[in-house]
Amino acid sequence: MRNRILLLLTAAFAVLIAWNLKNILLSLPDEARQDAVYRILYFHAPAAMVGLTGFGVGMVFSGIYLATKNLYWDTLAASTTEVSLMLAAINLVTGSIWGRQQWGVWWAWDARLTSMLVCWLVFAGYLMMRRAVQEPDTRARLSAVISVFGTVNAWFVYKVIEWVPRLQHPAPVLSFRTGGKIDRQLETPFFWMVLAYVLLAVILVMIRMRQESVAREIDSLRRLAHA
Amino acid sequence: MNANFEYLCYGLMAAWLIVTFYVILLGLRENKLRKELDRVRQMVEPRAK
Repeated sequence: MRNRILLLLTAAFAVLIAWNLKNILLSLPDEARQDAVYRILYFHAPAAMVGLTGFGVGMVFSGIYLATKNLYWDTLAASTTEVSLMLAAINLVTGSIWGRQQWGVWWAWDARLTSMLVCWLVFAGYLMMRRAVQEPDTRARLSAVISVFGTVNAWFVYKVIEWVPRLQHPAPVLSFRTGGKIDRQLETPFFWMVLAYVLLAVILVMIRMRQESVAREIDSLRRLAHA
Repeated sequence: MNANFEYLCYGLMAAWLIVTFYVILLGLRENKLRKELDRVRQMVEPRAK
């Protein structure tokens, strides 16, 4: 049943991403100041949006673990965080490439970029810590603590472009953000890309969870072998 | 090639490369786990008999 759902989601993702690519690369007009390169932002910003939300969702799963002590939630939190970290990497790298073309530099140490990098490093540390700590309950509790710190940082990353004026990073452009004034024609494909990234994240988290259940089976068989 | 298109290509390639790299990593991890599961099962089966 789970494999069938996975297959269906993958098919839906393939169709959606093909349709999005066609829209973004072939149907949308070039932007007046940036020309064609602005299209990178359809991969850059939705990756951040889904990645940062994923960190928050991971923190909620860790919270459920703390309340229930059921390790399933800790595993789900770790899987969600790992996939979100991959999306955050897409955001950082594509942003850097866009910045090189638009600003003439690969990186600027402004509050937005730096806080995103710090957020990425915090969650990379989270995954490294999970490899280092073997005891499941200690690992889950430490993960929950790091997850809270990381998610507060993720919230700062999201809000900092409203709080700090004159950043190197552009101010909000989407219509639901304060000061956002993007044209509807350019905004709609953005939300379809968000949906595509959400589908991708769900697929990858499901695969990670399947791997975790195999790992648990190995552990229980090992215990049986050593009993 | 227009510099704009060049950087657009780099951006798209980077995004897909990161996803591909992660999917390959997941595939390798899955293979390793399956092999380990088979090995542990073979270890346990004689005891079960």
